[in-house]
Order: sequence, then structure tokens, then C-alpha cells
Amino acid sequence: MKNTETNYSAPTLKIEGLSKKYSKNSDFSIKDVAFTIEKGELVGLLGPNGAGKSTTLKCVTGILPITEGTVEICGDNIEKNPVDAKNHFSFVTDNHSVFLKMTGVQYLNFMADVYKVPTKDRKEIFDGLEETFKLGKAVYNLISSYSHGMKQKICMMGSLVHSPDLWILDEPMVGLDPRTQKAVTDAMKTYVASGRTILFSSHNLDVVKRICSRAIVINSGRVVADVPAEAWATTENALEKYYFMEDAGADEE
Amino acid sequence: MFGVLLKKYFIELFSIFKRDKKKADWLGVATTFVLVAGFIAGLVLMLSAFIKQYTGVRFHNVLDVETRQYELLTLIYSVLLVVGVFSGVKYLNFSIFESSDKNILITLPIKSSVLFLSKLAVVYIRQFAVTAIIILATNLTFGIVNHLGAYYIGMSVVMCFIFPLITISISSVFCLPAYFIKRSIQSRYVAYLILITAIMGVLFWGYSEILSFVQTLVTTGEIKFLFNEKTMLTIMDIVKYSYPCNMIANILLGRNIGESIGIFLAILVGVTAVGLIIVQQFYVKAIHVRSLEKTRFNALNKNFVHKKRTRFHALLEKEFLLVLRTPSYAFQYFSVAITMPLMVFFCMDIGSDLLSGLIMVESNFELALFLVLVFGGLTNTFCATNISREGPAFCALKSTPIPWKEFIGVKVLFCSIVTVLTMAVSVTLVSALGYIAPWEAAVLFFIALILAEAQICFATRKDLDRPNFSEDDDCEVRESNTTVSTIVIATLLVSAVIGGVSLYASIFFSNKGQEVSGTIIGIAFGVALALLAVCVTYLLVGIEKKFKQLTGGN
Repeated sequence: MKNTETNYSAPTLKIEGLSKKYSKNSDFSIKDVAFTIEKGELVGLLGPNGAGKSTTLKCVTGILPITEGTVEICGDNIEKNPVDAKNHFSFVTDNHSVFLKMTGVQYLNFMADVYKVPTKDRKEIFDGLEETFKLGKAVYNLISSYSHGMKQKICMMGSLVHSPDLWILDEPMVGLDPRTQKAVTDAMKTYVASGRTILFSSHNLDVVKRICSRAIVINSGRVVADVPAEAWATTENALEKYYFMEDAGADEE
Repeated sequence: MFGVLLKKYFIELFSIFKRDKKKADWLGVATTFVLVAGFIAGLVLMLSAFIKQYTGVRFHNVLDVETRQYELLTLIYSVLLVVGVFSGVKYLNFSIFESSDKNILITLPIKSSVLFLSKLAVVYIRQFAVTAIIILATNLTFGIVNHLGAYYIGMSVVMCFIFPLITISISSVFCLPAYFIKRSIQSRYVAYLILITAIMGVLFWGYSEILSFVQTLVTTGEIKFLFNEKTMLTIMDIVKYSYPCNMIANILLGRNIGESIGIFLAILVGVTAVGLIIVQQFYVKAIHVRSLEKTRFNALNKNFVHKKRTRFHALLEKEFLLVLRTPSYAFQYFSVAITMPLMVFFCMDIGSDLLSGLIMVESNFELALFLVLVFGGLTNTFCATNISREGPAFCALKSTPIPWKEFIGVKVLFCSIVTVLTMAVSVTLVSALGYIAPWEAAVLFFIALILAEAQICFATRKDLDRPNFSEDDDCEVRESNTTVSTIVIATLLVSAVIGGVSLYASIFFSNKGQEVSGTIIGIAFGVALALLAVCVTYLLVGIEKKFKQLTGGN
């Protein structure tokens, strides 16, 4: 189904020395961010508001140009080979950036066209997504008439039409009711269980602790901790310790 | 509370000077200033000629200047009243139902009448600013031509303050019913679009009638024959019942002052009272109706799974749906594109008669070139928001594997399709009606198309360099920006230079008995191709880097 061959020997996501400045005279928003994510991991990018989570994800997904460093997705460099790299992942933004003038069905088919999903596979995929996210008949309505949660659901459904190797989500739980949150976390767990990978950002410690196999804590634009789930129960590696850490010094050059 | 709300509106109004000055559309402001100045100058010139003619009209062979002045002032104020009420209804409805503070204000403990009155006050100030300019221009012209004294001038100044009161009061009566009617029509979206297009066609027709009237004035220098007994009797009947405008004319001319002021004030108080009652009853209800409204579009293709299309095809359909389903875009583009051929035809009809009647010259090809370039170019200014229209969704789109070539290519193609259709209909119409030969129509079509493509390329790159992604809930680009103003000015300049110079050269050499059509076509083609080459280069140089750097929308 995918348009680019997946290099299974390469890590799903490899970030090295990633730094971002929004303008020449500004300070670094993120500095020397580096981590690797392997197939089958569910990784939470944790940090308080303004820590640099969204900037990191936007650099990873090719929305923001990178100032320094490299990002490789399944072996494809996002800057040098953007179209191939983008075929490996899907990104759900934090403000459900979606085409409001399409109906849900039109949006799903549009995304399927963008990712070149064959017609014969679509029915099964769409039915599976409907089973998970349960939009019901609203899927035939214009997206502009959707509630916050419904927009979040259609964004997620659209992002999964091509079963990407890596699913990236920016603050996916914000503004969702508990029932929709459960649907989203269940979908994420199922996705990882099928052997694929998720990276999502959150400022919510509890969500990360509940579902992730690993947490990368970012604070003041720098990675301050990379902790596997089995380790964060210890006082020494408690996520709170890193999360509430004072300025980690991203502005320094 | 009224004062608090007014203060809030003024703080918001003046915050424009504190905002990002780079984003301010100073070019647009300057263009508007020049256009308004031009409009006022044209109005004064035309009005002074018309006033002289009309006040000299004899009814039953009797010259009654004072009565003609009264009729003319009544008619002028009637036109101003209609325009004022329409714009008042439009701005009131916008400030009530479209403004971003609506959802906050409705939750605060403020009486609906106070809320409405505060909005009314802001619209009054806006109307005062606009009507004062027009009233002063028309009244002073009227006064100077008719040698009216200090009383008339003084009352004209007073009228600048009072007249917006009456237009706003009448607007307050009609704004809620107009809103409900608009909602009802808008819910039948296709019918609404057709209706709006038809209204535009009628307005263009009205405009052509005015031009035709001006043509008669210019070519004959005499319009008294238009005001025969039947017409004069109709005018008298209209004036008799044109309350409160006939009272305003009386007040200005010093006729029956006491009675006129009394009737005028009674109308003002009565209309205001009715407006307040309507508002008191329906204002909150109307806001709630709006906030709960959900527009639905039923997709033509009801299948859950659609047949696989190419990425390019999918993007093209997305663009079409975005424009079709956003009322303001559909109006700006489709309605204007559909009515453009009508405008070309109306102006061609009048222009051709003017040229042959006044200068004894047949320059239909050059005139058609000028008109198609001007109107085609103005229709096409929609492409100045090619990138901005994506809104926040641009961010999501950028994370998908869509190459920049496809993204930009679709934008250019979409505009080109509409342009080709509009231009083709326009030149076919002009040719079918015998103004130009079929081969001339073909030549005209290709010159106009080349220039339109140049315009699309230039506008798309301009917008890519500085997009204006809307932060509104519906992501519509509503404000004009520097890109739009630049495109409008550039379009008018290029059209005026190519079309205007061709027309001038044709007239100039025809008078000398020289045939220069071939040369004009050759030069026009050459200039158009050169401009296209420049604009395509402008679009493509560094576009990949620019696309990569563009991050707005999220």
C-alpha cells in the first residue's frame, strides 16, 4: 500500500543534533535534540507548555525547515528526500488542521488519494477506522459542522488511511472528553500492537505514564531525559523530576 | 455599560495602529484613497453638468427652478438613503452576527438593547464618516451651481450628522428581518449563488444604463428631451411620497421649515422606536439561531469509498470544493467570472457607439482588448489568495507527501480553467454580436489568456511569499492585504498600458488614415509573452526553498 519501500534495517525515526531558530537573530527554540525510535515503540514526548515539543514535531514532519541536524524516517532524510520520508508517517496537528469544506467521507478519500491507497483496499480500511473512532453518519456531513472531538477523530482517521510506519500526534488528548480520550488511547495501543510505531507529544504526565513504553522529556528546548517505562517508577528516574526541572538552557549557544 | 462597550470597540478600532505594521495594507489604503478621490471628482463633474440641465427643464413651458431644485435634492437624498440603509443593514448584521466578540458578549450580563445600541453607535460613526464626504461633495456642488447661500451650506453640515441617524434607524428596523431572509436563502446554497449572480448581472445592467445616459449627455450635450411631460409627472409623484427625503430637501432649501422639521423628527423617532422594539424582541433569538446553525452539504457522491484518483486530481477537487462551499469565495470568483462577459458586452456596446459617434473611428478590436484585459484581470485577482485560502490546513498538507510542483500546479490550473472559460465566453459574445471578426476574437483570446497566466503566476508567488492565513473559525480570508492590492494595481496598470495604448494608437493612426491593426496585435502579443516569461520566472525562482520555509497556518 505504501508508495515508498520501508527500510526495516533503519530505525523508524532517527534524530541527530536537531536545532531550530525561527529567525537569524532569535534564540534557539530547540537545541541539539537527539533520539532514536525503533519499530513497535509508543513514545511520549513530554514537556511543559513552550518546552519545544511542537517545534520538534514540526521539524520532524518537514513543516518547519531545520536549522541544524538531521531527521531520518525509516532511512529517508526529511530534508533531502521529503516525499519518500513523508510516505512513511502521518501527522495529526494540535489544532485539527483539516479541510473544513469537505465532508468526512470526502476527506478520507482525499487522504487516500494523497497516499495512493488502491480503491479495492479502501472499504476495509475505512470500515476499520469507523469501528475504532465511531463517527457514525456524521462522516457524511461537512467537517465545519463537527465538534472539537469529531474534528480530532476525522484527522486521526485521515492520518491512518495508509497505515503509516510512524504515527505522529501533537497533543492528541487536548480538549477531548474521557470517552473520546479512551477511544484515542485504545487506537494508539492497537496500532503499536500491530507492530508499528507512535510518537506523540503531551504535557500530561498521567497520559504518558499510562500508555507509553518510553518517555522523552523535553524542557526549555533540550532533551533532559529519555526514560523507558520500567524505569520511571524509581525515584531516581521519576518523570516529575525532569518535567518540573528549571530552565535547561536551550537559549545558550 | 453602554460607555464600557463603546470604549471596547474604540480600543479595538485603534489597535490597528499598534499591530504588526508590516501586515498593514498601506498600499490598499492608498489605492482606496485614490479611487475615492477619483470617484468624488467624477461625481462632482457629472452632477454639476446634470444639475444645470435639470434645473433648466420647463414643465408645461414654465421654468420653475426652485421646484426642480426641490425635486432633484429629494431624488439625490433618496438614492443616498437607499445606499445608506443597504450598507447600514450590511454592517449592522456583520457586527451582530459575524464579529468575533459575539460569543463572549452574549454570555455577559448586558441587556440585548444596550448591546445592540452600542453596535448601532459604532455603525453610526462609520456611516457618518462615509456619508459626510458624499453629502458635502453633492450638497456643495448643488449649492455652488444654484448659487445657494450660507443657510443652505450650514444646513448641509448639520445634515451630515442627522442623515446617518435616519439611515441607521431604518437599518435597525430591517437588519433582523434581512438576516432571517438571508439565512433562509443561504440554506439553499445553489439558489443563493444563482440569485447573487443574477443580482450582479442586474447591477451591471444598471451601471450600463447609467453609462448610456452619460453617453447621451456627452454626445448630444442635451438631456432635456429625456424629461418630457410623462417623465416629469412620474418624478413629481415619486418626490411627493419620498419621505423623509422630501422633508430634507425642504429643510435644506428653507421651504416650510417648521412643518418639515416636525415631520422629519416624527419619522426619525417612529422608526427608531420600531427598530428598538424589533431588536428587543428578536436580537438574542437571532444570535442564538446563528450560533446553533450547522450548514450541511450533501455530497453528490454518497458512496463511502470513492474511486482512486491521481493526487493532482484530488487536489484540484479539494480546491473546487473549497471555493464552491465558501460563500464569499464562490461569490468573488464564480459569480464575478460568470458576469464578466456581460460587463464586457455592456461596455463594448456603449464604447463602440461613443467611438464611432464622437471620433468617427472604428476601433472595436482595440476597445475589446482593453475591456477584456481590464475585466478579465479584475476577475482574476482572486488568485491573489491562492495560498492564503488553505488556512491552517496548509500546515497539515505540508506534512503529507505532496510535492510543491503539484501543490502550486493545481492552484495555477484551477485559476486557469475559470479564466479560459470566462475569456472564451467574453470574446465569443463580442464576436457573435458583430463587434469583431472571429479571427480577431481568437487573437484577443490568446493575448488575454497569456496575460491572465502571467497574472496568476505573479499573484501565486506573491501570496506564497507573504500569505495571510486566516485565524477565524471558518478560515476565510476576509481582509484585503498588500498582495491583493498589488495585484489589483498591477492588473489595472498592465491593462491600461496594453489596452489603452492599443486603443489610443488605433484612434490616432485611423485619423491619419493609416492601418496599424497588424502592428498593434504584434506588439500586444510580444508584450504579453514577455510579461508571461517574467512572471513564470518570478514564480519559479527559489520556489522550492520558499515552499519549504513556509510554515504559517498552525
